[in-house]
Parts: sequence; structure tokens; C-alpha cells
Amino acid sequence: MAITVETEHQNGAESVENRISVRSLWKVFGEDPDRAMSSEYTGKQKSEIQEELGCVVALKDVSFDVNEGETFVVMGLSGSGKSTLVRCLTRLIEPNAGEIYVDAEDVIKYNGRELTNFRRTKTAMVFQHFGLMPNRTILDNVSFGLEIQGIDKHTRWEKAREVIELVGLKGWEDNYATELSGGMQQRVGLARALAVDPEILLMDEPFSALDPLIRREMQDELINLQTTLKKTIVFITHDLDEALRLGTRIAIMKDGEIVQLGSKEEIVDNPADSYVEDFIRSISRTRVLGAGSIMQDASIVVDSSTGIDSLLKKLDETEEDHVFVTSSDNRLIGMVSEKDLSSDSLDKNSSLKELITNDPPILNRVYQDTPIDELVPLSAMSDCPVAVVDEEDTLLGIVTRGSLLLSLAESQQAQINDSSS
Amino acid sequence: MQNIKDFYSSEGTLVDRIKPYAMTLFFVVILVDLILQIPKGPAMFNFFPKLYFWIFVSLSGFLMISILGSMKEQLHKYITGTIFVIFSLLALVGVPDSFPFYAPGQEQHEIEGQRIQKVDKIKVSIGDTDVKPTAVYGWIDSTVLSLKVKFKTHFRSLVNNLLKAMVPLQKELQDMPWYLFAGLLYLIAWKVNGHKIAVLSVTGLFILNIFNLWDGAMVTMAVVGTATFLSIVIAVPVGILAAKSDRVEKMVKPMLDMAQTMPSFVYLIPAIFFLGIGMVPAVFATIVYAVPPGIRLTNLGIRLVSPELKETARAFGTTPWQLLVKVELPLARPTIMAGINQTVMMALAMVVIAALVGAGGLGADVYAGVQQLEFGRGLMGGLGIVILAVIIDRISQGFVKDPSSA
Repeated sequence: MAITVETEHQNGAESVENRISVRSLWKVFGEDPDRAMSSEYTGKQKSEIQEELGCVVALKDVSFDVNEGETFVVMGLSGSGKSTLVRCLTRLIEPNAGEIYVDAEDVIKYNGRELTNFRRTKTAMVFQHFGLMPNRTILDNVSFGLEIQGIDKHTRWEKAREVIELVGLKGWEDNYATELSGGMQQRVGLARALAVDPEILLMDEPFSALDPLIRREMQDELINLQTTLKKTIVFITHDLDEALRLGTRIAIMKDGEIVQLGSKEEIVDNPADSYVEDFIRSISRTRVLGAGSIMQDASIVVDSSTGIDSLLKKLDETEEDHVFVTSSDNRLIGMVSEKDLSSDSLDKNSSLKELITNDPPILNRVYQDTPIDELVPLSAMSDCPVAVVDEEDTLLGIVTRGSLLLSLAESQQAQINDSSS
Repeated sequence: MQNIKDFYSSEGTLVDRIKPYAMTLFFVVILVDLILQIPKGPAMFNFFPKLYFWIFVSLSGFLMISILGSMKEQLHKYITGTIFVIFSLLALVGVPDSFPFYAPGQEQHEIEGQRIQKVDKIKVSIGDTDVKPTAVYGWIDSTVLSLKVKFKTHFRSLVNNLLKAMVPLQKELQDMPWYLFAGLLYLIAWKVNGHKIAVLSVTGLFILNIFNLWDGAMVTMAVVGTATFLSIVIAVPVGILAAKSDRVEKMVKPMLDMAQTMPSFVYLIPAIFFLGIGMVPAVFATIVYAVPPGIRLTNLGIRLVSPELKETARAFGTTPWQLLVKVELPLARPTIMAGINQTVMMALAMVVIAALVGAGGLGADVYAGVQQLEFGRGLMGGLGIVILAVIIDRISQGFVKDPSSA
């Protein structure tokens, strides 16, 4: 089965191979899974099927793809089937029907030895309950996966020490898990998963058992690690904040079905149904939406060879106070304010180049996906609109104080409406 | 049940509806039985013969059906139904004199073609009670006898092989200078459980030595040691099997219950019969008694390993064998060790009984003390056993400790 897809990346036809492709996956707990999966029950609610057949439909015809290197977050309330889903991926729970392609191989068709091998090398899992062996030291816990692979003591300890240092637990190698705090225990869990150098990390609510401060710290840590490791991650959570912080894409599950799958902007901006709406109600939109969603075109963009006089004339025609200067390939060089241009001390012969300001706090650059909230302090400190650029420093648009205030006001209004309805 | 009406409700399956009436009838019959003092056993058939038996059998039938009725398999219902019908018919026709359990005991042997004449089993009287022989005794005896005849050579080689291991062990223990033994014991006890226990153990040995109990203690050690070793060899694998399979557990549990509740003297009879007199039958009788706690606690320990940890291990790609060896057994170790500790203690408890079949050792002192009413001798032998028990118990408790809590 060909599982390459054309991504909707703006660069055009860039094809990315899916790491994981799940097709119509079913899991029914109970005595009569075949009937529960048959067409006569497709339209029925989970609770109805449970009443009629005594079967619990944990996964109902679930399909999705996970791209290489992305953090795919599966979110849902407890009982929505998200933990079952992640266990089905490695067949810790055997699904009733469906296909799971990992690197174009169907995991469902693996025999015992192939499955063992798959679990050993391709994937590693981090659990909500940590799952550390109380009788092993941290070092032996971390090297567990390697030990199972039959790697000799010296090599696996060496690798384990490396990973322990990576998660910031150096010096704790010879302690037992019970001597560590919750956050540290989960670091060990993470280290154990990383030690086998898996291509795919499966994380089942890894931070849910931690207190909020530690949770945030661990999320940052994961984001940091991910920038260098670039693993494909399937991340399960019930916490929308966490999903929005970590997820490249988010799938929201309800009663064993994926009700919405998309980027965080899509989900916050355009919730599929009332269930998703309930989720995002408490979330301030400006924390999720990027600067790209409210930017506008800079009205006056010139290149550095433009004369000062013609520029002043242009400025008079509009209400703008700032001019953005770009190079010939549209890269942002800097900004010139009207004040500077019209000041008396200005030498009429000097060129525009000398007036350009290009550094914070006067000129601030942000990316398209920088949350709107982060623009507020930047905008407060400088009169100049915030410039929205891409990685190549191409000017995409600007965010003025006015549009920023407007979006904040809208978001607040939306929240008031939600809470009153 | 909330009230009587609910109890006799007419809802549910046939079995559900019959169950409460059957139970009531059963208790009424027991009550009538108590009031009228109806004689028990075969004699009861002289009194109100057919009807009583019929009521009894039908009640047991009802009860069995109601118990098994809760199982889903239809098969069980048919089996119990058939048993019920057979017993009912038997009761209606009347119990014949030749009904196996009540026929007077006779036995008839045929050994290697040689016919031995029928012999009436001897009637034994103890106090006022007559112990009547019945035919069942004869069945069991002749079965056992034929087994012995069939496997004579096997039993003999078994005894010889065990003796080959045990006699040198006993000799070695007896010949070893006591201070050397004490030194070794001190080292083991110190490694396992610290200096305090080590000092205690050596003090115990010293007491054994000055009261001249040394030789007996060493023989006892040889028997207990061999029995314990063999018990562990049996208990741990069986315990693992029982933990892995609910069916095995269901089969093993009643057997263990029986092995532990059956008076241990009973094991001595077949042990002597098959293996003769001496240390070997003693070891076997001891194993039957000492194995159950080992199996039970191995089973329990593995079943108590948290499902989360097993799931974690599976997620990292453990084979079933790796799961057992790298996760389950290490985590169950404290419980398994507690079971082994119990096994040793049980083996020590059998020492006196083992002396009856000529195992010797400290048990023999106690036994001789009982036979000849020498309290001093019996007490010293008993004390010796207590000292051995304390030493072994304290040392083996060291294994029970969890490494992570150390």
C-alpha cells in the first residue's frame, strides 16, 4: 500500500512519508465484538451498544496518519478510548479489526517474533504510572529496554548513563526509584524510552500524574528534547493546555471516535462540534492563535535605494508612521519612522540606509505561529508595528497595535459569551 | 437477602427457583434428623430405609445442581443431572448388600501369578469404638500393592540414588569439626542478615554442642536440607504454573489443602510401603507436608506483581520467558522467599514424625523420650529442634527483605 501523501505545505509538492498510518481500527471489549462492529450498530451510540450487547466499543473505526517527526496529540476525556488506541499501536491490546502501518508494514500481521522485535526497536513507551521496577536501580531501569534486547552490561550501562545525563538525572544512577520525586521518576521513564533509541515514542498521559509546575517543566523539557531528537511522537493527554503546547497536530476523541483532527489553530478557530467547543471554552484564543492570523500587509514597503523625499511624500498620503525597508528578494532590512525622516537635524543628502532601525526593542520580529499573547509586551514597548517574518526573514506582514487590541477584545468577548451561555 | 418474599421469588431460571426450596428442605431434614436421632452411616438404612436415602440423595442432587447451575456450561448441568437420576433410581430400588461402600471388607491379592486367599480384614477396636473394615480399604490396599509390584525396581533405584546423596552429606556434616561448621554458618548468616543474627546462630550451635545434641542435629539437618531442597525444586515451578494459568491453580489448590489438612502420619504409611525404613521415606513424607506453602506463596507472589509493570515490560518487547525471569520472579522474590522460609519450618515440624520411620536425628530423641517416659531426653531433643528452627528461620528471613528498602 502506498502511503505517501502530498502535504499542504506552502512550499508545494513536498511529499512526506507517513510514519504511522492507522486504517479503520476497531476495539470492542466484550463477548460479541463482531456484532458490535456490524453495520446494524454503526449508527448507534456507545451507551446504546453497551446496553444491548454488553460490549464496550473502545475504538470505533479510527483512521489517522502520523507524519515523520511530528508530535501527534490524541486528546479526550477518560473513557474516550485514547489509552486503548495507543496500546493498540503496539498490540499491547489486540485490536479486533483494522490496519496499522508503521513504515509500510502492517503491525497487525506480525507474528510473535516480529512483534517482539518491533516493540524492542521501533517504539518505546512512556506511561502515566511511570512503570519503574522498584527492585532495580535507576541505571538498571533505564537500561531495561537494552537488557531485553540482549545487549551486554557494559554497552547498555554506557548508553543508559548518556541518556540519564540528557534528562538531567546525573548522579542518581545508583538510587532506587522510590527515592525519587514524581517528576524525577517520569524523567527516568522518559530516559528508559530514549535509551533504546526508538523511532517512535508513545506517551500515554506521561505528565498527568505530576503537579502543575513540574508538569510544565517536563513539557518544556520535552519540547527542548524534541528540537534536537526529532522523534515521531504519539502523545496522549486529557489536558487541552498540554495538547496545544506540544502538539503539531491534535486529534480529539470522543466515545472511541476521532471527532476532529487538525492543527491547533484549526481546532481553536473552528471546533467541529459542541464536544470540542466545550474543550476549548476555557482556552483563550490569543494564546493559541498565531500572529499570522491577525497580520495585515504592510502598506508601505520600499527598498533601501528609495529617496527620502519621495518617501516623505508617500507618507503624507497615508496615515502610516512607519516604513518597512526590504531587500530585492523581499527580506526585511529594517524600519524607518516618519519622525526620523521629518526631523530637522536630517541632512537632506543622507541616504535612507543611515536611518534604518533593525533591532528590538524598536523593531520586533515574530513568526507566523507566535501566539498573539506574546505580541502584547513587544507592542507595548515600541510604537512600531510588529513584523511577521518567516525563517528566511521574508516580510510576510505586520501586526499593528490596533489590530492586536481588536483581537484581544474579540477573544475576551467570545469567552464572556461562552460562559454566559 | 432482604426479606423472605424475595428469597422465594418466582423469577429466574428453574435452578434459581428450586434453590431456595432445596435449601430449606435440607435444613429441615437435618433438624428432623437431630430431633429423632436417626442413626448415621450404613445403619441408617435399617431405619426408614428407602425414603430417607431418597430424600438425602435428591437434596444433594438439588444442591449440586444449584451450585453448578451458576456455571455457564450446560455440560455440568447434564453431569449432575445424570448423577442425580442414577442415585434416585438406586434409592428407589433399594441399596443392595453388595453396594460397594457398605460391603464387609475382604481383600484378595494376586501377586505374580500366585493366588493369595481371601482374607477378612481384621476388625480393630479402639476404646469403645469399633473401627469396621470395609471393602474400600481393600481396593486402596490392593491398588497400592500392585503399584509397588509394578514399579519395584524404580522405587529401589530412587531410594538408592537419594541415599547416595544424603549419606555423604550427613557424614560430612557429622565429621566436620563443629567450629568449622560454626565459622561457615557465621559467614553465611552475616552475609545474609548481619552480625546480630550471625552471633545468635553460632551461640545456638554452641548450645547444641555442649548438650551433646550435635550428631542428632546434623542428621536432622541432612533430612531437612534434602527435603527442603527437593520441596523448592517442586514448589517454585508448580507455583509459577499456577500463577500463569487459572486452571492449574484451580486444580492445585484443593490438592494443597488436602496435603496440609491430612494428618501427616498418613503419608508415612505409603512412604514406608514403597521406600522402606530410614531417611528416604522420611524425606518424602516431609516433602508432601512442606511443599504447599512454597507453591502457594510462589503463586501469590507472581500474581501480585502489578499489571502496570508487566505491561511496561511487554511494551519494551519482553518474551514471556524474559517477563518471568527479568520482571516477575525478581519482583515476587520477597514473597517466594517467605514461602521457602515456611517450607523449611514445615520440614522441621515433621522431624519427630519422620523419626517414627527411622530417620534418626533429634526427632529420634523425642520419640524415644515419649516411648520410655524420659522427659529429660525428650525435652533436650525438642530444644535442639527449636534451636535449629531459630537459626534457619532467622537466616532465611534475610532473603525475604526487599533490596530497595534495605
